[in-house]
Amino acid sequence: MVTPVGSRPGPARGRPRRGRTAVVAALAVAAVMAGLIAVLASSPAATDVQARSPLLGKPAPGFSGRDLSGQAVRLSEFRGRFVLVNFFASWCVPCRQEQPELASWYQEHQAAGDASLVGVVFSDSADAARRYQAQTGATWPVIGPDDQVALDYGVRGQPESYVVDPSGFVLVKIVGRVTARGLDLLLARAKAQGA
Amino acid sequence: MILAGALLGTLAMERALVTHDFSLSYVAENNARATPLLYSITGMWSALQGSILLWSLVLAGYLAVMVRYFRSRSTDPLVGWATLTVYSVSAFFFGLMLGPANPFRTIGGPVPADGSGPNPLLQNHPLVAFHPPMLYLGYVGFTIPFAFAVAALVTGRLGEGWLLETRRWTLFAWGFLTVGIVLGAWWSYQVLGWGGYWAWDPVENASFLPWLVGTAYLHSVMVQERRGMLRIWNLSLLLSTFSLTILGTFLTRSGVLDSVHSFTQSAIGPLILGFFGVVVAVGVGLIAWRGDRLRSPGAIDSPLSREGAFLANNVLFAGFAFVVLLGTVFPLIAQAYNGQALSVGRPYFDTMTAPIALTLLFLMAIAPALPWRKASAELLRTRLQWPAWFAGLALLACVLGGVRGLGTLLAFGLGAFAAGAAARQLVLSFRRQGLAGLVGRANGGMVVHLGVVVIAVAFAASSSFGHRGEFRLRPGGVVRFDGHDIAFLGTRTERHPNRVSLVADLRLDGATVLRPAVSQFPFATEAIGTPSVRSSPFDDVYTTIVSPPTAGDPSAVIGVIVQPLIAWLWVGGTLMAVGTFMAAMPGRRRRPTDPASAPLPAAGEGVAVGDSVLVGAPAGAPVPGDPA
Amino acid sequence: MTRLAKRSPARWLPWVVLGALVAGALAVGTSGGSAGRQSIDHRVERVARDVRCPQCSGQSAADSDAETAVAVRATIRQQVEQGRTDGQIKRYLADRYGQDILERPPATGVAGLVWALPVVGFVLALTGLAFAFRRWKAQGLGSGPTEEDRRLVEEARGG
Repeated sequence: MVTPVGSRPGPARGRPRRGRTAVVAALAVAAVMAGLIAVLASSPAATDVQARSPLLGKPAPGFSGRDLSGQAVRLSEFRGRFVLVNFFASWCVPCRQEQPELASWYQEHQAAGDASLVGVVFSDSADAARRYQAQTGATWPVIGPDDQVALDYGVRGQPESYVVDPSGFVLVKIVGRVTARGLDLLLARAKAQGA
Repeated sequence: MILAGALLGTLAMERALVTHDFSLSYVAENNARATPLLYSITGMWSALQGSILLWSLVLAGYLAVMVRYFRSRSTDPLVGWATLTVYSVSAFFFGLMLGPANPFRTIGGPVPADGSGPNPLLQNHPLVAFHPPMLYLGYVGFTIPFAFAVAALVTGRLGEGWLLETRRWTLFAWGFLTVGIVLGAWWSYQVLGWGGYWAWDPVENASFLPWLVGTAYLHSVMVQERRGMLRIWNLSLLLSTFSLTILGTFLTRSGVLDSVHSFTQSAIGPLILGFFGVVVAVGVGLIAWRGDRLRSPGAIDSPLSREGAFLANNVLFAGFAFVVLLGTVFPLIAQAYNGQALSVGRPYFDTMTAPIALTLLFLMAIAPALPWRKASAELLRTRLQWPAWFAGLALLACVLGGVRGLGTLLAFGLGAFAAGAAARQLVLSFRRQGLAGLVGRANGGMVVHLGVVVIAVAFAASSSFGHRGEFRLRPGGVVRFDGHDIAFLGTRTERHPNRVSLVADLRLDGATVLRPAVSQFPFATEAIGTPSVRSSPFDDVYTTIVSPPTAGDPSAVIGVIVQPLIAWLWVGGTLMAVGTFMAAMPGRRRRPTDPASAPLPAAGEGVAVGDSVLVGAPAGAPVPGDPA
Repeated sequence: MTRLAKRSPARWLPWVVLGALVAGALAVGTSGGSAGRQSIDHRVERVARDVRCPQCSGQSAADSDAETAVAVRATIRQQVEQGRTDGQIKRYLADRYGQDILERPPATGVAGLVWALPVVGFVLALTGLAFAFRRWKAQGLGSGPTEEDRRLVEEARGG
């Protein structure tokens, strides 16, 4: 925005043009600012955004290894059922909060045979996780800390959970703690949609 | 009265923090019995609600000083409008504290026996006591010039020297902001562990944006003073500076952008955004309304003149601010548009701002040599001769010394050019008027320019020639990296009242002992690393513990970062502070509101003659070599 | 100083010499390419600097010591050793973490705006300045005596 000149007595048509420039420029600035404010006002908190994942709708990255008790675990052996892949750490507060929910959900669906649960230790040691699983009475397979699995799933923090459908595609990513009820709703919707 | 209220609130909060009064939820969240006294005191601004209290305190302080300073003109409606504006801003911030950001909210349930302590990163370095207050003194200080700008627009009295009278206020606010930003960079360097000092983080950008626009204003107002021009620019810059402080506050406290510096989220985000909208609407509306009165009687004759340089300066700084703002908020815009998630990180900012910064260095070199109105090639040739040769030789020395890379070489060469021009100005002033002649706006400005050049060169050097490495070492192991020997002596555990630290002892080059640590604070889930740095005028050796030894393995992974010239960043910052102080002192020049042709106050000096004679200059033109 | 003397080459020569010196220095300084910098460590660091640390707020994978950052660096190193290009490695990571794991926004699509807008703004600013200066020159305000002034002076001199 440059300063136009002229307080000389010039032709009368100079005056309205100058005044108009200021108003037009001001309106332009106001419009841009209004747009910016609208964007800022409607932006969700940065922490809510992470549940988007490039894996949605794609085949879930496979993994195979031994769980904390030494048994072989492979993702492909869960084909035909929904699987919840749950990344957690023993020191993480929301992980502890979701543990009973996971336990009851696991029991229910293990009995029904339509869904299962695999845990993956993230940002923690295998020993601590083993103690934690024993303390909380968790019986589902848990794979020890594995950087490659965490990277393949694009895990950025804990707890994060991925629901994989029976054909092996990633259905949804949940950042933060889960509830048994929420998971059941998800499953019901997925089944209704013919997964 | 407002100041009394703010002081009372501050004292109450400090007392609560120092006596560990956990019935206040703010104290319970940001203080613990084990917290050392210094960090209990600084706990006042360690989190959101307290920071609003600090803002209100500083604002009330400025208001009190302003009212006292202008008390002889308190019946002037312009002063009245300005005071009213500052009252309104204060009302907003005090109002925030009444509602959503209440620092004195009491705990809902039973009083806990101990608090959770401040954020670990805010209690392991004494700089936490200096950086926020300095930053706030700067940030909040811009409210006063803003208030006067609003008052001038409202009353329509734009031809008088109001903006010029408040120039010193703006200079002080700018000075504090500069110091605050440099201290922030120093603090994050000492504490965060990644070896860097500026990451173009949203919160850093939030403090940088008003600085950029404020710098443009400080320069551009000189054109208004001399020739009565660029008035719309100046008002816009001033209004923008204040608006950007509010926008910056919003970005920092709303949680919309992820940052290592961000405060906890709260509901005050929308309120601050609303206030920002009001400020922008008022500013834009006022300028649109009074636009016709801002037409200036002059024109810029030639791009190659002091006015032309300042106009280019305005455009460059505005562009700089635009790029920084765009990069900071663009992830939000992209997300709002089609939901896509993307990041705009350091590489973007470094790439986009480097050309602007280099052009600014160039401008810093030639602008002090440019006369007002019009320059001739011969004049420029004479004035720029020494700085240009200094730059050329410096460039040659760098290339011969092994420096490679266009950006780095340009930074060094243009930096030398700008430094040469500034030094030339200072030497001329010293020769003309002795040591006393060195105070005052022009020479203070040259010292600030020198400080900027030092920072630019240090930035370029540390970015281009920094090296980082990680080494797994057993106790007794030695590694040689980038010209230094680092011996790993072993680790030990230190117990402090507020944390337990695992400290690694390292011996650098057989002499200095460095002690990087990993500390566990009681309520934090993850351990916090603390780096240990050895600074020298030549380079900094920065050590961290990447992986501590485990039960089965006594070796540890030690991170080492060697970067040259880092210490000069802080020297440059000090130079800028000194220069600002010098510029604020009244020099032996005419007062800003006297016409340009008024005689200098000191008798016997007359019209000083510089090192060349301007051939064919019209009578009454500014004296060659005269920087202002 | 006569006009002739002002125009003499002696005045310009030092500057020409200086210009040649600077040009030469820059030429030497920018040549030589980056042959020496293609070591594995350098490449790993260069790629890692363009990738965010997945679990930190704002540090790059090159700067952070967090577990995921270390893992990302290890993956990058593995792939560099396998001979993959920078672009392939970054795409690999973006396929897993999302586009926002990269520090640099892509240059295509909506994101391209963040690269284009500053350039457009710069061009607009230059054109704006050019127009303003031309307008000022055309209006003839400013330095230099006008015909009117010259006539006045002539009259005053009695000529």
